Amino acid sequence: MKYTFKTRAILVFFCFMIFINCKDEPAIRNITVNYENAKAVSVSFDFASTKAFSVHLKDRATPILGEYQTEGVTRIFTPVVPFSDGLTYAVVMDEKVVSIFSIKNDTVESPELVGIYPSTNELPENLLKMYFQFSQPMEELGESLEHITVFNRTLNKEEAVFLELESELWNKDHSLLTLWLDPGRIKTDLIPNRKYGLPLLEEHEYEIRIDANFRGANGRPLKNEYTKSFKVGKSDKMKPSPEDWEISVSGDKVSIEFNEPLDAILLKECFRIVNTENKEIPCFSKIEAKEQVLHLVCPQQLNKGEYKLLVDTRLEDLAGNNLNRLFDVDLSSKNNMDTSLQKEIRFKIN
Amino acid sequence: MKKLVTITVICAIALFTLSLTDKKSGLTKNFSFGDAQIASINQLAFGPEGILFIGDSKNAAIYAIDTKDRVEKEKSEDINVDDFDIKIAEALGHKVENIAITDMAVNPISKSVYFSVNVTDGTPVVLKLVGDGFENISLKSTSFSKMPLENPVGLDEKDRRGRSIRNWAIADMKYHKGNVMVSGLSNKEFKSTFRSIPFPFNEEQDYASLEIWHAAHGRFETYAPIKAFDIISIENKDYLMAGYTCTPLVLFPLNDLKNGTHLKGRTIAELGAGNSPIDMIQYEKNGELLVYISNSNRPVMRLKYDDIINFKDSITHEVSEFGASDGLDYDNLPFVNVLQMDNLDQDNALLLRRTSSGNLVLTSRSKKWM
Repeated sequence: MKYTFKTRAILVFFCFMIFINCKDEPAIRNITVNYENAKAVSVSFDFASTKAFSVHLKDRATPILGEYQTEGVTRIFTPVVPFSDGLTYAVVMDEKVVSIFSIKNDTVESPELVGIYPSTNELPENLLKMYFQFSQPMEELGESLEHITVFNRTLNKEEAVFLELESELWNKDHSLLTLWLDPGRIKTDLIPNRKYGLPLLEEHEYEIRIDANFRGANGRPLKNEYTKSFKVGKSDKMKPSPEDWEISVSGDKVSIEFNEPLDAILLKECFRIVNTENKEIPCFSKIEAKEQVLHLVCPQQLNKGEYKLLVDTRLEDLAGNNLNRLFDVDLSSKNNMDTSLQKEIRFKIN
Repeated sequence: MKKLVTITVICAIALFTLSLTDKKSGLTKNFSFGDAQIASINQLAFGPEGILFIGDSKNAAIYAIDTKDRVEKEKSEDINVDDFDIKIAEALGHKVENIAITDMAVNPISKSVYFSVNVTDGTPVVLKLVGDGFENISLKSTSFSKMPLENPVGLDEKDRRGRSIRNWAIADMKYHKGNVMVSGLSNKEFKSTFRSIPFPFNEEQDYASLEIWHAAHGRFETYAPIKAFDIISIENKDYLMAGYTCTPLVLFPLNDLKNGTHLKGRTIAELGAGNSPIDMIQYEKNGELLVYISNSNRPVMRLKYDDIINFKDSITHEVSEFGASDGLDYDNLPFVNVLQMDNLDQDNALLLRRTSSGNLVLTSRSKKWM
């Protein structure tokens, strides 16, 4: 039997179509995880089809929430939350896994604990708060106290001394954590104070341990476990007294020496220098001697003359006593409380 | 011709309807569209017309988001979702240990349930429950309005100059009669601040320092932070009913909350030490108004409104036995580890609770049995 050219062409076309239809879907090519600021923010791949797809955690049925885009043959998926370092994800079409990809970001570094304040190792029995400064943003799950423990070495037991708050107190970039020692135990006669006593006891030795499972916002655990040992001294029942501070000037630096360590964070923001016309002299703060000395470095040379050091009265010592009041104040006493917002200390440069 | 007229009329009606839908209401006329740049989500609360308020501790601000979720529904479907945290984590492509559910709010119009979720890397997320799955509420392309929280008494100029920003923890937030009420704590002073912010947002906000008689303390206590609160009406006067750690329940007249005032509250109950209130809701059952309080270390407590209004005293004596209660009577309900609680509809409450086996379950619960 002879076929005409037209018939043969039609047969070839049909065979070709059968061949095309029998072939698998076009392959996914060039699958790429896209990073921004070290975060895996999207995945893209080339795929010559308009078929819908979804992205899942590997071996999980729930599609991940996010946005789908198509740019030519490139398909892009941007999840609501960046992909997690160390996890593997699957691209799914027609309920079949067509590709998998893993997130492994070698540029991500483990966070470090760079400071615990107060930095001194002798703390008052009525210590009110501690600050923990990390080298980078930390995880935002509100579970810090699962990683920060206090061990009483004198009694050889772990103690719960910090106040649990539903919303933890972090700075904006989540690298500085404030923990309060339970004020209910510090304030005289509160039931927790009567029942449990002060969180820290005079003459006792303690160790704070920050475990290495505390993770950074990038998912990496702390580089090391960190510890700080300290001994507890007497309660501080005195307000900080600016009259007893010593002020000295050397070149562009005004130094204030306190007779006790003060709150490390408040120290940086409670001092200003103004001239006789009340014009502020721009200075930056530098803290030394375990928060007992503050240097105000004023790049604009200080000329001879009179100046005022303005101190916000909310500046606190380690027990939360500020310039106006004690933290644990007997409100039934008739003493009039100073309510001024600022104290002035005059000094002269000769 | 008749057909043409019909089509024209239909198009005109459609366009008119569309223009009505698109028109901004008085509440949203000052809203902008775009990236709200929300940095963290600590609290959620619904206002009128599907407006969702978001408390952002990192930015020390309250945001109003127009969810456009305004299709009225009288009754919610039954809700019963197991492994709730695992399901959220999977929908976000993370392990369950990478997420924390920070708040839950029910839209009183649509009865839709919204959740705020914290993820390790700090990406703020709001999800809406759809069946037993989720829909992401975009915070990057949204219609919103923002109100910064002013610093408390003793405003620090340095904060305004950007040298240092006070760290905030927003403890609770509610919308009441045109005002967003916010309680919070700062890292600088152990001082509770309570704010009332008129909505739509303008330049105004009232704040007060609140003083309570802490019966466990045996004297006035100014610096305690409010953990959870609700507004209650007594003899046509609105009161802030504030729950504190350890756990006094205190009434403050809302009318007296004016800029910078110092208010003394009336302590009406001591619900026992060693505990913090988490959520407070109220609803009417069989003609009787009831108040429910979920707690960190106690079951859900039920208080009767009539008992609250009839309690004219203020507790000013010490409760010397640890964990003992005083003042108002209350019932302990058999619901423990309730992490989130809200009114779902007229007949049901919604509870997010951790069972003894560790399963986190979201369930609607008939108010008949609460």
